[in-house]
Amino acid sequence: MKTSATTAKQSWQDNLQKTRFVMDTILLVSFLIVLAPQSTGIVLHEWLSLVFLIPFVIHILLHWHWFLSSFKQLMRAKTLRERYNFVLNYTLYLLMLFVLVSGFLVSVALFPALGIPLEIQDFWSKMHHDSATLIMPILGLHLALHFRWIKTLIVQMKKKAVS
Amino acid sequence: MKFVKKNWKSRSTIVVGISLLVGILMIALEQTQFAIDINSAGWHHGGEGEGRPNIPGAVLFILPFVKALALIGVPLLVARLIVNIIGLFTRKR
Ligand code: HEM
Ligand code: HEM
Repeated sequence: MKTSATTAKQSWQDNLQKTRFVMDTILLVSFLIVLAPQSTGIVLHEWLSLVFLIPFVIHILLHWHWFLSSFKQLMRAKTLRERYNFVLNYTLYLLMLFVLVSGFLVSVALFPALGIPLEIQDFWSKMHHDSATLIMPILGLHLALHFRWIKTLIVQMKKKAVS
Repeated sequence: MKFVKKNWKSRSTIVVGISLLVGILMIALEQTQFAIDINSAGWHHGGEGEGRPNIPGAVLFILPFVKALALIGVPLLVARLIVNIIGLFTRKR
């Protein structure tokens, strides 16, 4: 048993999995806010999308090792789950980029505020709408793949001690 | 924060750099016939110009979040269901 003196000093920040859990929660909440421009208004939507880039990059930083070894791992992959995980993660990455790029290209507040002239094409409006719709179920599959981890971490976060 | 901060400057630079590069390449898609077709046919949302629906403001505010949660949550649950069904058949062996 750990003494209370050692456990008191430890926080989620001392544990990689708990750090991931906290950052993932922030990522999910900020993503949900960005997904609802009808509620926030378009202007806020555009600025919040910029803020969203921070948890997004942090998510990649916290899985740096996965990305570094991903191609080597794919070559060695034995299970269907590993291959599926690879395809899903890179699909999600490219789709997220596409949502962001198309978002910038239909910007009505951000670019004008920065003084950048922009002629909005119907193509990019449709792409932003379609890709933002498509990324939601893909994210659902991403979360489904890590469902057991999420359940484990919810239990662990309730305990004070870092395991 | 030590896990987030580990080499964060160089790593973020790499991530942002690659993303910027791929993102700029994506803009080239507007040159495709697919894009030209959509632009010439025109595209706009359904529902525009139909006036405000007769729903309370609070519900109108919540609804987009409900939509997002459903579009994320339903595929999540369906995927779990499929995994569990497959598990029922494979774990016994
Ligand atoms: C936008 C909302 C997203 C949420 C809420 C989310 C959530 C999660 C969760 C809960 C996990 C498992 C726990 C963990 O290890 O942190 C995870 C893992 C991971 N995610 Fe995401 N994610 C999102 C987007 C993305 C995107 C866009 C990418 C691609 C760049 C991505 C790449 C990864 C990778 C590589 C892993 C680790 C996979 C592994 O270790 O097998 N995620 N994510
Ligand atoms: C993760 C990033 C983003 C997500 C998930 C996202 C999601 C969405 C969604 C769901 C809509 C509603 C689409 C519709 O119903 O037609 C929308 C509209 C819009 N977004 Fe984004 N967006 C993101 C980034 C951006 C960025 C970076 C900008 C610009 C700087 C932007 C600008 C807009 C504009 C101007 C609209 C209204 C366009 C229209 O109604 O055709 N978005 N976005």
